Amino acid sequence: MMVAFVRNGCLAGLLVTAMAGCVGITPVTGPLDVDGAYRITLGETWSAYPRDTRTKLRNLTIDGDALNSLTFAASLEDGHTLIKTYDRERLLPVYRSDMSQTEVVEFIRDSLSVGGMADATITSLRPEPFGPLEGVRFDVTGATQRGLNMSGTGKAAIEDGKLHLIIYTAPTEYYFELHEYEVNEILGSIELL
Amino acid sequence: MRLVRLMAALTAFAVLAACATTDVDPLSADMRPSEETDEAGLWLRMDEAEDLLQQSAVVVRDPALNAYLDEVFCNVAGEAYCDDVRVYIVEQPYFNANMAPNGMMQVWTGLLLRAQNEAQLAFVLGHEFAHYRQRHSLEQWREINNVANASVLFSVGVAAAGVPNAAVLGNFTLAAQLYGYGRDKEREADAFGFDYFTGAGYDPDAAAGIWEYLIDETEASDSERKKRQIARASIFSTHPVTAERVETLRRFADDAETGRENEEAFAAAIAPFLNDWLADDLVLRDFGQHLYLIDHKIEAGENLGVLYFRRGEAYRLRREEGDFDRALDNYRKAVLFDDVPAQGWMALGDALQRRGENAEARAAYGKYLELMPDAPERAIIEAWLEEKE
Repeated sequence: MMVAFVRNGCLAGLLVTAMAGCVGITPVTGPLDVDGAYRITLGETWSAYPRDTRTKLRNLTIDGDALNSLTFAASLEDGHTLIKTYDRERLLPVYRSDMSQTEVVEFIRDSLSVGGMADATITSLRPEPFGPLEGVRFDVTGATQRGLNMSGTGKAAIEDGKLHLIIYTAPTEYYFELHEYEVNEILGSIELL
Repeated sequence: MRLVRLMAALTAFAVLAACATTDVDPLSADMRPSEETDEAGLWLRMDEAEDLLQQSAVVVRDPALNAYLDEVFCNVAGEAYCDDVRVYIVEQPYFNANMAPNGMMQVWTGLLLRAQNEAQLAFVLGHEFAHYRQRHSLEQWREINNVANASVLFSVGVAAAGVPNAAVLGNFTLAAQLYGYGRDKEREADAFGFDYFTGAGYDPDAAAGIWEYLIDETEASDSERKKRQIARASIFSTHPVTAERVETLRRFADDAETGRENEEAFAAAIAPFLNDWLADDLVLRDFGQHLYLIDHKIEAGENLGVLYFRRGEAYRLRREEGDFDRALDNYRKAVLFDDVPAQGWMALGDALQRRGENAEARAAYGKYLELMPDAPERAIIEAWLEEKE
């Protein structure tokens, strides 16, 4: 039973490695439009991976995505999943347009768990504007499977049934705090387009 | 025709020359392999894997639960082998246990969640211990090497004879042997495991019982693939939970003396983790299997506060017609029991708020904040309470 699990993990790792060689990573700074829905402003220069066409997630990093990762998406529709999978039969957490703010954060936490974060735990959630929208701000802790403690923070909001979200994760030790100020500035810079 | 005979003869010769013996004696207590052997190499790799596992975030380190599993393992394996095997509890929601050749055993929380008593757990531990003592990993390693050599030769031979489809078939048989221990070793582990756990005085019906439960639960799954896997009997079902295996264990039980289940001790050991493990299971979003599991546990009549709360959570997330009402009904039942988790009150408040029953929702939220002064959702709740004043 374990073998199938390990085999799938190895396959995914190989695919990521193979794809990494072909991916164009570009530097970005200043205003950044997210799928025509909202704009964030980056104070520092981040490296941007291309938008994933399946999950619609975009990823930015400064020191490498294992050390700091800013993930965001816009206008996700009912039934959308944040997990990239080639297995069409796989059961996964999905976004529902009638979710409450706590349910949206639960959906993000469960997606982090399925994505491999151990002990993913929401430590705080609170109302915070997402541009002019009523948004929810949250903090999360967890660990990699190997045992490295991770911290995260993010913000989400629903506009006309569609989900906008931004999540920042980094190792708790050193790296999370290193760019925390910049991330808070980014989360405070959201403007709807 | 002569060419085909020549190819067959060459292939057979090469296969026989490449084969190492796969018959090995059982391990005695406190035995480690000699350094110059292939077995020592296997142990070394597994020692490295064990070092990683020990640092991993998914290992459950609760002292009481670990002591309990160690005690059950020692009951089954006997004192002589007690220190040869290290049992690690791994927080993964799947039904699984596995055994490495160096004595590293993993028991996943999805298995502990589904076992109904200590006897069922003891059978699984006995089965895994049998893999260790019979040195199945070493046998498997040698068989794979032999089959790999034969498979390559088979491919070359039949491709040269112009039969490419047969070459593909050769690789399929290799794949079937790579995944899992193989049916023969599972049967052997069942037989030895059965002797170990009944020898320790456990109820012999538990061996077939745990597999019968698992088959029923899988049939309730939302995943068509899971259902197909449980029904399929092919060369690929190498960890076969088949009718044949259950029948064999039932036959063993018919000839064995009755024993103890230790249901209460088992329930007490896992009760503190039930809510978290069910939450982990729900992350998989297999509502059919999850609800079957909870319903089965509710029938047993223990931990009802936790179980009604978790059943409400499953309905809330499933969102089929009538599920919000079912969720609310379960939350209302859950809070009648002392063991309801504090989150049960939060869930009740949310469900009532969704229906516009604000006075009741306010009371439920109030109870939640009283029980959880540092609740992560406090600011959200207080904002809502303020808005509704």
